[in-house]
Parts: sequence; structure tokens; C-alpha cells
Amino acid sequence: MTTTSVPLDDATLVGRARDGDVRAYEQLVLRYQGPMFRLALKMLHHRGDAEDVVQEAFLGAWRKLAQLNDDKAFVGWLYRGTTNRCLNVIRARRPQADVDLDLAESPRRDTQPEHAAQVSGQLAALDDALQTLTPQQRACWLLREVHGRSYDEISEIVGANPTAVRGRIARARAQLAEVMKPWR
Amino acid sequence: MEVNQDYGLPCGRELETVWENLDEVDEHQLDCVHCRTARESLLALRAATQELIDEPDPTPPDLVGRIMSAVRAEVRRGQMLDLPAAEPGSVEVSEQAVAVVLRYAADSAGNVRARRVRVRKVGVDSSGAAQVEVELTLTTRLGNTSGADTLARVRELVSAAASSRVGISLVSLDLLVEDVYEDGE
Amino acid sequence: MTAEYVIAAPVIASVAARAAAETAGVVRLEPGLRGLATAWTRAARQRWKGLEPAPADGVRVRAHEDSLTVEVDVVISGADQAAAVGRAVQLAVFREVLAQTGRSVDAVRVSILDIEVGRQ
Repeated sequence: MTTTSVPLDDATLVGRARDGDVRAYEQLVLRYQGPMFRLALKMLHHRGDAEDVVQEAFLGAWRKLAQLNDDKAFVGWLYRGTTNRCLNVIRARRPQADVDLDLAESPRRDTQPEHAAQVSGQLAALDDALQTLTPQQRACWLLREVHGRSYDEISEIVGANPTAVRGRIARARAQLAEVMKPWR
Repeated sequence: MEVNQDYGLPCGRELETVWENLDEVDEHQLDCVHCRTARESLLALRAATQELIDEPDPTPPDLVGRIMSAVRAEVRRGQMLDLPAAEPGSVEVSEQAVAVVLRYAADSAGNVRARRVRVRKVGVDSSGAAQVEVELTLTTRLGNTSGADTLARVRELVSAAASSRVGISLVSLDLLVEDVYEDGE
Repeated sequence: MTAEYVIAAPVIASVAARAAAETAGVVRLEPGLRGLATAWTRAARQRWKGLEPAPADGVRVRAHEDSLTVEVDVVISGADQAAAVGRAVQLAVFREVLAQTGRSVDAVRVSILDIEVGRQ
């Protein structure tokens, strides 16, 4: 049996997925798991937690597909689910000690050293600096600067007005720039 | 913007202004030590951010598999439909699985995309196979001028798939065209 | 004699699972993932990664009085007719359970939960 090899648009895939077509949903997962995982990883700084969040976000989206009014809005909706789950995880965390312990038992350590070797000092500095931002600032900055979302989209995603979003991003940028100094 | 007032440099210029003009340095910035320092930091930030985008963290290889296992566990399978069994016991197929097969059969007609499939069981034939009524919703390619031929072909392919690919007995097939799509969409 | 089945059921399930999985046209057995989806705790994740799934996932053996029923949940490929694959699974389970355990199964119920079209 053959199927069309042309990649289908998001709206068609969402429509089919809503109808229960698992393969259509799998295409959407393949398409967007990368950005969602990277957002979650930078938000949480922990691979295991990031994986859990991404899985829950996609599962949550699957369960609520019927409630999505505009099929073309799927991506923004997914960003919102991922961002909110990250913020909830952070809220539920106990202080730092836990995080170090978790990093040590991260199931993905095998893939890390190789990648770490390619990471420059500047990038490492940015990575560290990101963790000093408030979760809200971090989310807004990542969505804008790394994921290229517009201010309006971000305000939908984080549920704040665009002015507040702009403020958070400006603050995040100032703080990050401050930390970048020594590495020049 | 007033939200940036916390980030005024000692020379009076806003950090945001320096950010927005990173590639266009004006007279003041050339002379002003505060602006120069700020600009250098922002350039370092921009370079590191670009690195972050260019060298994304690798996605865990089994993440899609995990997500899909969880999704499949929740799939609405719909009712189960009988197929003829060879031995004591039973063979049955989910309404959802039937829908997938019929949808792809319709797609292969060309110029249409199947959307919703409704399968309704109305009985069981003498071989033990479920008898079903099917309603299939389609979108058709904009400018497809041979609509009647296309629908006849969809009908043929879907009927054939029901018997040769599944083994259920199709007693009626309703085709509804509800939308059009454009090439490249 | 219920005690006999307490030991035998997992063995029968395991033989049946293998017979079903190796039937032409079967892509995989569909494990009962009840609870898994909502409870992806760290422990569950490590269990999932560290160990092979139980060999009888997707198979249930029901022993009632003297009657033995095997239920199998499968996902099949779109290349073959679903009804034909289902019957082949029935036959394979009857044959292999008898050959490998000496027990004759009274009924085999095959549920085709999904059909993967476009994947051979």
C-alpha cells in the first residue's frame, strides 16, 4: 500500500490526528519534538525532567486536540503546554541540592561529553547565566531569541501582556549581557 | 519604552537602544566608554545565542518512541468489528484500524485528502464478518475538474480496501466533500 | 486444579506472544500500557529502559475451570489482509502452545488494534 510522500501541512495532520490517526500525530511529534525538548532542557537544565515535560506536553496536546479551534495554531499551543509544564516543574522543585543529584543520575550522560567538547566557553557561560534568570524571564528570552517567536505569540504562550513580555526580555538581556563580559 | 528605564547607561542611553543598533554604531557610541562596553557584551551575547541556535542539544533518540507509546495507550480504538475466524475464539479489528486503511485508500485516488471516517456496524454476514456502513469526509484539490471521476475512483478504492485489506463487508459508503485544498498546502 | 495454572499461565503467555509476534504480517504486540502513560516517574522510566519489556506484553491467558483462553492484541502491517493475518495468529498460537507446553488451548481471541499502512 502506498501513501503520499509529500509532507502534509500541520492543519491536515492536526485534523487527522483529532480523528484518531496516530501516524498523523507521529508526524507532528517528529516535526516538533526537537524545539520542545531544547526549550525544556534550557528551562530545566536537566535532561530527564526535560524529557518528561516534552512527553507530557505532547500527550496533553493529544488528549485535548478536540479543544483546539484553529488547526494552524498547533505549534503555539504546544509551546504553551511545554512552557507551562516547565514552570510547574520549577515551582515544585526543592532547592539546588536536588538538581545536582539528579544531574549525576541523568540517564543520558553518554551523549553529553561528546557534545560538551564542542561547546565553547561563551556558550557555557550563557548556559550558566540562563540559570540565574527568573523562570519567567528565561522562558520569554528563550522563546524570543532562540525560538524566534513574536512578542504577541510569547504573550499568548506565557499568559502575560506584550508589554510585560518586552520588559522581561529586556531585563533578561541586560542580565545575560552583564554575565557575558568576562568571556570577551 | 518605559519598561527599559531600569537599564539606562550612565551616559543616558538605553541598553535596548544599543541592542537595536548593534550593527550601526553612531558618533556617540564611538566615543562613549559605557556604550562601547555595553555593545561588546551584547555582541558576545548575540554570538553565544547564535551558537546555541546553530548547535542544538541532541534530542534523545527514543523520545518519539516514548511519546508515541503513551499516545497509543490512549488511542480511542472505537468499537471492535468481527472478522471471520478460522479456529475457536475470534478475530476482531478496531474501528480505528479500519478507518486508517480506508483513509489511505481514499488518499491514493489522488486529488483528494481523506479527513473523517465514520464506521457503523450494522450486522454480521454469513462468514462472520462485520457488515458496516461508512461515511467518509474528503477535501478536494482546488481546480480539480474531474470531480465525479475522482469520487468514483475513491468509491472503488475504498470498497476494494474494505474487503481485500481488512475483510469486512461494506454495505454502504457515503462520500462527503467538505473543503478544498491548494497545491503546496 | 488451579495451582497448575498459576505456574503455567506465564509460560503459555510467553509462548503465545512469541508465536503471534513471529506471524507474517504482525508488526508488534500491543502491550497493555494502562497506567504507564500517566505514571512516567523516574523509576518507571528506568525500568522501561533497563529491562526488556516482559515477553508476554499484549497477551492475556485466562484459565477458567478446565478451559484455557488466550487473548492477543496485535498491530499488523497494511500489506496483508487483516482477517487473514488474524486467522494466521490464531493458528500459530494453537500450534505453538501445544507443541511447546503440551497444553491445548480452547480458544484464541485476536484483536487487531491498529493497522500500519505505508510501512511494510
